[in-house]
Amino acid sequence: MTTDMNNELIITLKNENSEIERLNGLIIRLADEHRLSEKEKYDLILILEEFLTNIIKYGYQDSKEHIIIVRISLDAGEIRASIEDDGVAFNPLDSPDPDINESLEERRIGGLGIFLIRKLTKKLDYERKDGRNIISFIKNIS
Amino acid sequence: MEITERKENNVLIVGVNGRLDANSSQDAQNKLLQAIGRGEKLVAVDCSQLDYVSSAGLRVFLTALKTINASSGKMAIFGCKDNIKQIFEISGFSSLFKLHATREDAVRSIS
Repeated sequence: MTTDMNNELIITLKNENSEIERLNGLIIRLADEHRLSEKEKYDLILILEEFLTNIIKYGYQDSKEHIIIVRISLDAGEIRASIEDDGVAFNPLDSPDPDINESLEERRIGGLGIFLIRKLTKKLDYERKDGRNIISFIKNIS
Repeated sequence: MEITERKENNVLIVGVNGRLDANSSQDAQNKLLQAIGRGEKLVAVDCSQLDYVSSAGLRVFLTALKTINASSGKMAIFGCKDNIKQIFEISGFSSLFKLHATREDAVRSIS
């Protein structure tokens, strides 16, 4: 974990599930340092965990170790973050939203992770650059 | 994550405690489906000690509800903290599940 001159927290993770727990610990520390509310802290952990789970589960076609880079900065009123991985191209913006008005019988199991992320962020962007996925988002904070 | 089970009259009270995330959801789902599979028809899920739910956790609730409905049973949820309620609401799950405040309310709704 490093903090660069622009006060950006940079976290380097391996593509292993146990790394999500480590990330969560770092986010809790960051959230407490910046006095984020319990809800803001929960939302930030959820957003990052949904992305990381997807990348680790679906992103790689080999069993090698890969590095995922998470960058987070907090400015007045917002959190800006990005997640960069060298997995297969995946644009979360292409993922269709589930129909949340469907009845229980119709309601499909799945597609909820990206939907939750959309609901909890102000802005969500995707870029494929030099064989890497770069997802970035902005979330409002009080 | 820890799952507790206890029987109260004919209702099975299942406590889902801790974090229900991608790592723990399969275990939680297996335990819930096992209970339904052995013939439990009335299940009340106690979320008062549930600290975190992700989309993987929501899938556990949806799968359990679909399964118990298919076997003509009923399921109710109670005791969710505000953060958990929020996730149920934005994902549209609050129209599928009525979130009860207390165990008594939940048990009454399915008895």
